[in-house]
Amino acid sequence: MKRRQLEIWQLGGLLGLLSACTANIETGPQTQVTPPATGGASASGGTAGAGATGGTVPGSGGSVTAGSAGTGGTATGGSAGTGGAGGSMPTPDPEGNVPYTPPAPGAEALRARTWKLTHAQYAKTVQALLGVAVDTSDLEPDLDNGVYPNMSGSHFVRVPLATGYFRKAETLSSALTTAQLTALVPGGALTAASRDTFLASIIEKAFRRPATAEELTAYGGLFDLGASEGDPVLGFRAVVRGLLTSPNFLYRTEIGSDPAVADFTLTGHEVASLLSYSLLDGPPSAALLALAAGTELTQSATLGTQVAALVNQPEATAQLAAFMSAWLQVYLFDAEEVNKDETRFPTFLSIKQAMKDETVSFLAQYGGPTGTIPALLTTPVPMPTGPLGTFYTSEPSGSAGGVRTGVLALGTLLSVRAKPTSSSPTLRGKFVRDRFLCQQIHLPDDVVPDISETQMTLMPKTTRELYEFHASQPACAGCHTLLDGVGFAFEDLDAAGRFRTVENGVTIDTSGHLYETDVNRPLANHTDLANALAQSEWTRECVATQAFRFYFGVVEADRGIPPVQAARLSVATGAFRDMVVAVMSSPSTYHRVRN
Amino acid sequence: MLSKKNMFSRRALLKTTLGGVFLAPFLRQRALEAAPVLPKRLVLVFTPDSHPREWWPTMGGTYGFTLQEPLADFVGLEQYMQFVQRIDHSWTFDNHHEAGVAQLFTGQRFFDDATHYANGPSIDQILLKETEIRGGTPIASMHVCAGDSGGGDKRHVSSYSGPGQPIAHQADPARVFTDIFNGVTFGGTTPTPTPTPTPTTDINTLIAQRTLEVNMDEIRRIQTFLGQEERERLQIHLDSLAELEMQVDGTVTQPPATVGGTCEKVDTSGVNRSDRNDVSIDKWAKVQADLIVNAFTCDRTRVADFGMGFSGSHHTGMMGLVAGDNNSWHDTVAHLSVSNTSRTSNVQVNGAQMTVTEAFIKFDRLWAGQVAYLARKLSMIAEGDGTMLDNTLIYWGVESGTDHNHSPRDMQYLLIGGKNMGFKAGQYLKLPQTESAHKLHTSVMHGLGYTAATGFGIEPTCGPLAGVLV
Repeated sequence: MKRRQLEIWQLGGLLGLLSACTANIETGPQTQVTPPATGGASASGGTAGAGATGGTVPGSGGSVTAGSAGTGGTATGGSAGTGGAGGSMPTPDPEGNVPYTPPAPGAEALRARTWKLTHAQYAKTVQALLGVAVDTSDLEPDLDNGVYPNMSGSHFVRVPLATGYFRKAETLSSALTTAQLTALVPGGALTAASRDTFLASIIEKAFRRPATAEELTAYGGLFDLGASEGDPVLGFRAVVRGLLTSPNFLYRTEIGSDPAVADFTLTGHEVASLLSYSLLDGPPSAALLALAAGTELTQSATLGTQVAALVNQPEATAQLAAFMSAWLQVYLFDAEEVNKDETRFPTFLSIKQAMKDETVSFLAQYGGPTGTIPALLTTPVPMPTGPLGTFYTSEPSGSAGGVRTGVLALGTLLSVRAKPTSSSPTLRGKFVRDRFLCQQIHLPDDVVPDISETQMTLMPKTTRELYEFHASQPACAGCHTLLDGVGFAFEDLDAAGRFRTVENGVTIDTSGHLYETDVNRPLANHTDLANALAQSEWTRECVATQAFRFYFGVVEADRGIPPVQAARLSVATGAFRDMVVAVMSSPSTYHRVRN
Repeated sequence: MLSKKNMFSRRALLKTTLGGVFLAPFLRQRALEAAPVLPKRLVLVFTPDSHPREWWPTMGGTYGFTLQEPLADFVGLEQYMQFVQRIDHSWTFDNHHEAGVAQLFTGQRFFDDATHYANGPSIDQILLKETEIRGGTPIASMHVCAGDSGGGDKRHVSSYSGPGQPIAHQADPARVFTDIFNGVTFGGTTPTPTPTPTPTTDINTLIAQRTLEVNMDEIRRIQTFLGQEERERLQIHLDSLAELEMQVDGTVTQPPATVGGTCEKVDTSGVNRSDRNDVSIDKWAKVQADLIVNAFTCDRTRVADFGMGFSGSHHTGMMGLVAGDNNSWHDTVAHLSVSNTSRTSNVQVNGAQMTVTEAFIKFDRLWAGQVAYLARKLSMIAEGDGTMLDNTLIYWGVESGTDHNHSPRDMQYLLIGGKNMGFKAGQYLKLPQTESAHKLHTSVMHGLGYTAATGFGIEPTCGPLAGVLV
């Protein structure tokens, strides 16, 4: 049969189709990016200049776009988008300046969705429901799609995870002691007479909302089946088991109450779950669920007050720390790939934990509820005592120490954006562009860089010279100028964040240049860069955007959506606590559309 | 076959008149399939950093080609190998790393600009949906890796169940073993077919069955509130529960296929999951390969996805690499072979001085040796009147063109085995003009039973590639 079909294919006069399918390689972005701010990156043949307003950006190729498209996202004009284009940064002027321009207001409604609990949230929810701890280390890990680890679109329940949930439910329900089981039953009697009150109570706790009639029937059937052999306790256990694998337990839903209504407001209980899991990383309290029965959570006038109350809780501080870690990708520091060359950095592994602790401590103080963007970026990092301080001054030319300004100068972040043996101005510049300006630098398509013998002969010289060689090549200049001009400012801090003033006998040069922002300027060092970013409105919008992505678990389709812009305005004058309140207090928290 | 998209509880379906009518021919078909048949199998393989140009064989020899050093571990397996040269990817973006790995086995563009996932299913998942390749085995497909920690980032994933739906590799062999061989009794020759299940009265089983029915109904109800993309995400959960239901019911019947080899337990101990140590990686990869082979001999699954390293993985300092100021194999060796035709820059590997080319060949051979190990093991298992490799296609691809050149051109795909499915094993097919990889993928799907495929990925009507199949 197969042979015959192949013959038909070959004899079928499909030459036109076949020829159409010979390789015809398409280049360029494959999904909509609106509009790419090519600016200096696509300018050609310029000469780098200096001066207060910046020079013309040299180079060619590549492009920079603001934001990034994503799944989900916000509604546009009443119908939800299916993946947005992220930002819409204005085109730079000939000198590479990009003054900040507020976007047009975006639609407030997000898309109806489900959002699976993370394993940590699952464990907390089991604890809250049953009063028992559960180990989730043997569950199939949730996927991190590279945006944030808790994105609603990246978690799938495939067979291994479904099996894990199934076994957990079986184990947990059968291991409950009589006392634990009794505690779940209003009135405390494990008898068939308690069936209906138990069902209403346990379903409401498990689903974070009152049970429906259909659910009472379905789980009542489970109870009856379990109790059918004469022991009602088995009925109670059967219900618990079923609830623990229910999608209403495993997911937060943002679907409203009537599937026929396309543009709708979430139920108060759905908002309660959204707020609690996003802000506190755990299930809603009884008090919050009580509020959910009213309208306080589904109206702008009252939502902010409730959000502010939640943000004052200790769990919200922990969640803000989780955001800081995820935004700045501190977790990457744990990877083996970050480890340094043992010959050049023999004590790196021994101080690795201390370096991470230093970052956690700094972020807790300046990235915590009372922290601000200027404080995070420009506060001097104190020289640590003990082995970590010794390590930072262990490079001979840097034994006298030096200046470390703000979060960008922390050893963890610098070590991640470096090679095992050398710093990487490109990786460091890319990090700043990506995480603090929300600019994605795209290399020119299908360009084979002329990396040749010449590069190898440069090795004995400085990192700066090596990267300047890259930037001297026409195909590479555009991107490297944008990236390395930022990254060079950190050259006095080596691959592991140690101070240095000399590299291979050549005095370190930390000068650089910041292009394609609203705060363009020549940079003498990374303190200049930190001060510039602290004044940048693009940075404020970017931080607000990152917060939106983390707390809502979705990439924005539009710069102008209410939570992003409210958070931008808030963080311009306020603290991170205020930013979080703003991002969660707009109508986007409760307004949804189906598509 | 039952479309997975419309998978319902079979108990629930049989309760209805229409369901009985619907399932009857399906069950008859199952009975017809009771005649011994040879399974079809597929292993997708990804290795990092592409291959040097020496990966291509020279002309001449018994099969029209002679292997060079990167594929030296394949010597003796030439009869199973099919090289196809002048294959291009159809689109590119940036330096092709992410574009290359996204379209490697999917033929799709990006799902979005945030994740750079592929915008559609990969060939393994298409075949599971459109053909009987699964054959009633209990596990639809297995996804394993070595030299990489796995995870969901786009550079680590090559299999997709749908748009933006990556299937991550499992890096831990012990966990793979648990997932794949749960409940298996080892030491037998051919797996014993599971008898037709009889309705159980065990209360725990009944509760498990009812629980699954309730949960599946709940998912279906939630789906009615959602748009397509969100519905599809929940569909994966629904399909998973349907799989669980079959396991609970005991209705996963082993088909009476002729399966070669013996069902043996794999020792997963002693694996050090470091991606910077070639000795560790060698052990790690071989254990994962053993798990694939034994999943086949135990007929637990017939579809596997085996990733080694990831797109752009560095493996810094592995094999004692010393290369200037950056000991990344990716940066300093693989990419340096591209435009430097003389390529004489010295590097050190395990203390020996050599050219970049020689180093790249050694690096490539580390990965190629693992593929050869898998192929050789399959070739040594008698099955039907041939070997297990005759009934298995190992489909090996990389992320960018020859010499790791950041380019979508001159992609290096290698087909190994599959003779009983019509693949022209033992040839070096040099195409007269460049052709889209989609045509090659279409031929692969035809060979594995999806003969209705008219094209692949973003070229749905491109047709197959002449000369790949008999």
